[in-house]
Amino acid sequence: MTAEQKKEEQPEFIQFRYPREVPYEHALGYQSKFANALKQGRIIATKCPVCGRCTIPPRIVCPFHHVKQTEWVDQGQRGRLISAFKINFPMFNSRTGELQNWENPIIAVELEGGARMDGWCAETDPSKLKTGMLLEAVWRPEEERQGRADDILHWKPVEE
Amino acid sequence: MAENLPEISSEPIVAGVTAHSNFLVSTGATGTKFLSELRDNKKIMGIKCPKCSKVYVPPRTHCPTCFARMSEWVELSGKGSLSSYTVVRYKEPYMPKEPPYAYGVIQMDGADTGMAHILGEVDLDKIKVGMRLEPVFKEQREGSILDIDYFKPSS
Repeated sequence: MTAEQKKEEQPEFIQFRYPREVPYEHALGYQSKFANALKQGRIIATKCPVCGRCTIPPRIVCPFHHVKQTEWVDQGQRGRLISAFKINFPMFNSRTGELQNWENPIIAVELEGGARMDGWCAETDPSKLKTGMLLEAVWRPEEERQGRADDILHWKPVEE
Repeated sequence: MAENLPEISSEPIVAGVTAHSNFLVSTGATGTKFLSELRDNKKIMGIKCPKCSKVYVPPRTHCPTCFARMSEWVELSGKGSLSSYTVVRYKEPYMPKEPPYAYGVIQMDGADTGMAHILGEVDLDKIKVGMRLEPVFKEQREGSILDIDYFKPSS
């Protein structure tokens, strides 16, 4: 039996696409300052006055000491790799609504200022990633930045 | 680390965001049978539970009361009576019709469940629960529940 014949004999199976777009407004509130910094190509974090822990995304209250975090600290442009994982199957992209392959590993980075954040790694080969390796932020061109986390395109490994 | 950097604005930001989705909905063997009969033969099919004999439309694979697997198809006339309705008077994205229009639950003859669909060819102020209805099919059908254009009052 040829593949064509086999296909013809298969019963029909109705599927349909359900494309939807949901526009909404997201008020950043206290995090506006963080977004304004991203537009300038800077990463800033809130700092707890008790333990000194820096948080990204910024929060008004330290989750451990329940005190108001009023101090903002520049976190620099470099950080060290905490962890990484790579998605090996197509996954849904909420910005396009399509399935997409994700070549860049998703990583957690500890910044020079002490805060941790996640991002994409420029190195697509997971075997070349080592915990503790030095990384540097690669930014979108300034005119394209929108104050979003993906203003940082990815983190590229830096020779030490 | 960076010192003496310029001041960063605390000006509140309201970001305009659009969430996109493009799900692929699979109707399964039971749904495919129902939709292909609508498309090819303009027939509304129900499915009957072997245990309690309830007839479900739109069909499902299992009876929700008996958990019995259902496979006996029942052809319905499509005629029925209105058991509930609402009139849509505002516009939202993805509506199947231009408002104002009415949505109703149609209790079809020979079925034990109601089916929601659009009401057409009817004065919106004269819709009455219990009125008799019949389906109007589209000329171009594609295997969708909207192959039934609407239900209209039957004489």
